[in-house]
Amino acid sequence: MRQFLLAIVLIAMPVAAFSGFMIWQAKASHTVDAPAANLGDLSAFRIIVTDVQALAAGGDLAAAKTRIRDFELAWDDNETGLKPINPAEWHAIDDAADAALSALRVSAPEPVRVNETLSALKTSLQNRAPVTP
Amino acid sequence: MPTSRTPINRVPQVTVEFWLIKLMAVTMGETAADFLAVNLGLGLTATSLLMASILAGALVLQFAQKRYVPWAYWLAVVLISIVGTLVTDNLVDNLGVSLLTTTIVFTVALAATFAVWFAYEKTLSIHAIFTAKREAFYWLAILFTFALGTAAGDLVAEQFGLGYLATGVLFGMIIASLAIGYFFLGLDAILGFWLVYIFTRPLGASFGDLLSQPAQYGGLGLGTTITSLVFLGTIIAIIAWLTVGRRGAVTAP
Repeated sequence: MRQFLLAIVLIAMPVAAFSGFMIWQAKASHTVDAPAANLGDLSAFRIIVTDVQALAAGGDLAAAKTRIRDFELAWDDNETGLKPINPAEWHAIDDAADAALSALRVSAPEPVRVNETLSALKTSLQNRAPVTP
Repeated sequence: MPTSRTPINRVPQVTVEFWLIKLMAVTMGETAADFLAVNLGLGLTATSLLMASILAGALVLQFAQKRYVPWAYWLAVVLISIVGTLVTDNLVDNLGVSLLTTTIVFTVALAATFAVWFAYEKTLSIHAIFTAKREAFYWLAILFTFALGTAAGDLVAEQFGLGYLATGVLFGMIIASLAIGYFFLGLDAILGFWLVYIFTRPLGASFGDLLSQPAQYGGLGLGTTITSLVFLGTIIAIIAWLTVGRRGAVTAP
């Protein structure tokens, strides 16, 4: 039991020191009351979605499926950088992307469903205001 | 060579090299899981099933050694690292379980593993893995530490909005504190070992992200493929050195 208490204290001390430092730093830079940071410039992702929409509208769902893979790769590569900035918004976009990906990847994609999910994905990306440094 | 009467520990001594390889294996696990699921386009479910079956094969090999053989042991650790990460990713992404729930569930699962292990063997010592049963408990505990470490690390990074660098610093501080406890304050070696084993998972993941992530997020921009290859190469080099030098094995308690 003494050992477990010692372990808890040993873990709690650096956590407390770290939290204290983060709070102090947040206060010092006045960012403590900026809860919803936006995800910054997502135009690169919007461009891909626009391409996919154009391909899908032209009826070439196979090409749309190929192009949306670029979105998947880019989105995944940037996950570690983007997600911590605003997890809620990141998950909202991620869910929209998952829906669009699965709409295109079923064995017989339905054009209506593809268009709906792509529009929803684009909307989720457009909600983000441009980053103000 | 020890005689057949001398019990042989089937897992390595805990040395500096042990923690170095473990940290690198963790990073590999994170980036390799991503690479397989996304870059190779296998998807999360197929990747999970594939890696779980490869892990099962590696564990059969490891159990068949009946002594510490560096390549077999570390192959199993790298694969467990990948599968442990995938288990958590599946629960969170496919089944929609929250990271908080995942963290609690794996904490309970790990505690239960230790409780059953202790009830049967009256020890949790990692220096006395002499039988297949103890080895099974050892690997089950390791699988849960990876799953728990993944969930807890992601939880901290997401809930508190910390970047990977800050997350790395936090977990580095916890590990340093536990090391001080072990060396100077009489923290139990077995308890300390398992706690550090959990916390090296998020530390290794942050370290890997620092190397692989684009410079716009403060990383070094090496990319996941190069980072994985560098770590894999270093792990193989250390294991080759361990095998040739016959270091890290232990015969009896």
